[in-house]
Amino acid sequence: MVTSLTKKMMRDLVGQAVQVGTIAVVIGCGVAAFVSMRGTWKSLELARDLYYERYRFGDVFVHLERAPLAVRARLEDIPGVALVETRLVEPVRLVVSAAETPPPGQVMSLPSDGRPRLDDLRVYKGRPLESGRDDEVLILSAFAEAHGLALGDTLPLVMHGHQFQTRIVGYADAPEFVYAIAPGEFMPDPTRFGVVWMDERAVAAAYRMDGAFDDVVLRLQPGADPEGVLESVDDLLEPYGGLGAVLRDKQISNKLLTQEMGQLRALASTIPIVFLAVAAFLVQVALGRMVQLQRVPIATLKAFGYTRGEIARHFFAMIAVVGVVGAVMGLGVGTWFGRAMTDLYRDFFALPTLSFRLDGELVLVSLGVSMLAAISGALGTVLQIANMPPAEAMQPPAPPTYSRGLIERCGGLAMLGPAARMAARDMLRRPLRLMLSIAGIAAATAVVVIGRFGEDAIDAMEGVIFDHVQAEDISVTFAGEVPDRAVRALGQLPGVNLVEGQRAVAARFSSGGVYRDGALLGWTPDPHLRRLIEWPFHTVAAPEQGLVLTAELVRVLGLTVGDLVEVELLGRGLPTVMLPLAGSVREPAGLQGHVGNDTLARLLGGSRLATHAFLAVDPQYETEVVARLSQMPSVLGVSRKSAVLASFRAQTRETRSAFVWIASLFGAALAVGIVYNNARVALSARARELASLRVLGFTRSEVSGIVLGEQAVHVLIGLPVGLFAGHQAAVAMMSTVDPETWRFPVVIATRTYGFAAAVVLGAALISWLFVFRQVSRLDLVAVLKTKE
Amino acid sequence: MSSDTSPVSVLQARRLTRTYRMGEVDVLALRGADMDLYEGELVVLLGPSGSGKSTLLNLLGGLDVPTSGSLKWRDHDLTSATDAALTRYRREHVGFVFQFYNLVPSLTARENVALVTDIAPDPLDPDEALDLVGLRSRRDHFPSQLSGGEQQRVAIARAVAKRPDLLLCDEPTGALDVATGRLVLDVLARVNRELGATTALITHNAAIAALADRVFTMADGRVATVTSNATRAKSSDIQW
Ligand SMILES: Nc1ncnc2c1ncn2[C@@H]1O[C@H](COP(=O)(O)OP(=O)(O)OP(=O)(O)O)[C@@H](O)[C@H]1O
Ligand SMILES: [Mg+2]
Repeated sequence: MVTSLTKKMMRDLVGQAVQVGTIAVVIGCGVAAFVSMRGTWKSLELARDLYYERYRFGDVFVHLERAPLAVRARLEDIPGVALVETRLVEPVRLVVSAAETPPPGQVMSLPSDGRPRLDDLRVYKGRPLESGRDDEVLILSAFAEAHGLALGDTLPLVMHGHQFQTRIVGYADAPEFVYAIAPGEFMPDPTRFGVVWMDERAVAAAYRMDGAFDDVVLRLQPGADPEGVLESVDDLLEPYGGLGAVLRDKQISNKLLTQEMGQLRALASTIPIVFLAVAAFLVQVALGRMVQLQRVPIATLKAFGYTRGEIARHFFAMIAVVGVVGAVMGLGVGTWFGRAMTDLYRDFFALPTLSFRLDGELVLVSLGVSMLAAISGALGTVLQIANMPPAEAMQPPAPPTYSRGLIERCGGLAMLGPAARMAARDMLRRPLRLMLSIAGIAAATAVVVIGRFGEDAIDAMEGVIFDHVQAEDISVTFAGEVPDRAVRALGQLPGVNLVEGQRAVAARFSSGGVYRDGALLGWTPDPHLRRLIEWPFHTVAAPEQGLVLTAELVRVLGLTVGDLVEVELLGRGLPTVMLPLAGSVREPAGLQGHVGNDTLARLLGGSRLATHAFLAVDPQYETEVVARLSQMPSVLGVSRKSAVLASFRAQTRETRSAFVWIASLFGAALAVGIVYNNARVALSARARELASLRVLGFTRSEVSGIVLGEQAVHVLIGLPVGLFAGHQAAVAMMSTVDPETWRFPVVIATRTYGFAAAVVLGAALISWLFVFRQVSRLDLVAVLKTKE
Repeated sequence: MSSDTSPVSVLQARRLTRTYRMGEVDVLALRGADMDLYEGELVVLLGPSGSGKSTLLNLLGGLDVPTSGSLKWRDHDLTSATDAALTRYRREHVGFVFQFYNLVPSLTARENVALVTDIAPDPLDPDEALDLVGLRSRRDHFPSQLSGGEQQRVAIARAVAKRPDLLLCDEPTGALDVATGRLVLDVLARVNRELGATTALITHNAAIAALADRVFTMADGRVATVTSNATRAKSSDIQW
């Protein structure tokens, strides 16, 4: 049976539908943010764990020059090692079309007999390799799809300078390529990261690696000391040109996946709290007013013998309805957002079982936290009602006490008119509410700033990479180290205006027991095409004498200028040298060492060589130059900056607009919730007072000015606070990015601040219009006649 | 009420005081009021404004507790009752009618009555209660659709629907015109007769006292005089 009390509750809720609705929407936003982000995070985690488990993702990874197969047994003997997989991983040129050559890819060997013990791959279309066939390949599915390569297609591969015809028999992916990003690139781009798997005998034959391996994956025993294993592995592989073993956390795909998930998780546990806190505040404001209005009904109920418990339950139930409505909306919208987010992630992360899952726990937690927000906002008021003595509640509430506060006594309100003075006194009478309301507006503004800040970050990233670092039109990766004259020869191609070479050698920088792996770059004097950039965006002269390190590297190693740095050049037969530190450069990305190419040649005891070349080309010749470069056996990969930039923009556009939209909607919902509720409550609390003013001859706008002026002050204080808070939040978000990968000072564009301010002001204006309409409709006679 | 059987005293108030603390000063609303109520009688409380009528009625109804003195309902001691005990007392025994009706605006007439029958142990049917006040036909109307007199009759129906032992009315006709006031008084007198609820009624109109079995006059926080009427007048005989 529906009791009369329940009916009363339902009707009271319907009577306040707009106000109740705005609160439910704020709760809904919090739940939606929680469900979508937390749910996406959990879905990612689940898909990752399943994938890693099923396809035996390794714990330790190391690449080396060349070691005989016999060394494998010695790796197995290292204490703490459970499983060892050895293989060949070689650079390869994938000839996808005559016109374009993507950057160098990788060819990976697969055992002729059975599956790899670790880092297996998933063939998801076509079939596995037929044992013993040296002309079949499996291809990384994202790359194949990006280039329109179909099963059965012929794929020429340039391996070790020789071209081989192979046939694609299957699409595959693997746990080590979840985030398929080419070394040295900033964004994953499926067109630019090619991987093929071939029978191990075919790879060994092509690269003259019979009886040898150059890549190792290890599985640790439970409880093994990872650092100890790394050390033993490095010691063992040293003579074979080991490049330094790393754990999962440095494996590039896993590292970026983990980093992204960490950010998502952090957001999932902060953003919703902002919304739920605001919701609690709104409940407190709205319910407080409702109770003011319901003093008499409550006292009447008490007089009839309703117990405190029954009355408290009544109000809690009312609030719980708001919480449930909010939670249900939030679950619906959150699931929808979550699906969309998961779809976006699927473009970046190749996780086969990734799909958005809304599990029971998430639903329960959502319901729980929305209740918690609603009820914590209601708690004080409801306790106050329950303890209200029935007899005293029968009297109308005494006029609230006002006083001339400090500000006023100092003459702060003197120049205000009576209406403004009313508003000002009202605000100063409830400083806590004023502050919470300002905080709420600030949160709304900050949410929009954060949503849009991603755009600025991407723009800044685009600017630094494509405008400042990469001034070339075309970059070339050679199949090995080539002499200077091979670089100069590229300058003879038609349309090439300028060519510069660069030499990159893998290196380990160490000092005082701390080491980091990176690249040592050998620069030509006064480079114009590939440049060394320091914040804020200015070019630094490439060093000719001495060693310059990335500032972050200097910090990590605890160096000062003049200190000797141990630079171990990784690769067989390469020396370890001690170089004095000549300076540091605040580069935006990576950990590098920089020396003049001549210095590098001297250190390595030979002539000047290059691994890369950068070209400035007349636009009309670009296609032709790329085609010519692609024919050269010494060239492993070619990339055209305009194409990379286009692909970068295409990749990021979808993501950025989605985020801006969602954040703007959320921010607007917060702002509407706060402004509307505040104004509504102020209006209701002072309906009598305002109607009296109207009777005394004040105009509509003067009267609404009192209510709205007060809200305007909240908004005008909240806005700048929110812009600042948004900036701080962006700084906090960026600080979760590993500083050894990316170092980006937070730059928020003026238009982002303007946009956030516009969203919040717009939301406030809409709320004001609503309230203004109500002021206009204020029924003077009725308001003055009825007793509260 | 018949005068030949000895009347049963249901409520005894002795030397009741009630002090309100208003900041620095104490307001003595009651300064030692004595009162007995007998089963089934209808009494009227008269007295100047501020003499403590409402304060006394609130104490009798268990809305408040006295500062000192003793108050007993049959064998319940209300003097030092806990909030829970007072709540139970109100729930089981007392019906209230207020000067400003205090209907819940979001509930219809019938639902306002049901508000009480929902929690009472042996209530009337809400429709029956509305019959008593002659408003069954208006049962689905909201308070805003009823006149003041009609609202007050709904409030009476709501108060009597639990079959209260004690019916307390604080200026039930205060906000009504003469004719409507009569109608309301009629209803109260009939309810008192038909349901046998002991009824106490505060009024400023001395003429209404003729309706009562006994009349209490309050002055300065005390019961100054008690007079018995040999016969109860009809409301239609009252000159306002
Ligand atoms: N909650 C309260 N706080 C302070 N003083 C009160 C309170 N309630 C009543 N009083 C004071 O106690 C005294 C008695 O009040 P009470 O309401 O009982 O008078 P009354 O006889 O009902 O008057 P009226 O005929 O005007 O309703 C008055 O002086 C009143 O100001
Ligand atoms: Mg009174």
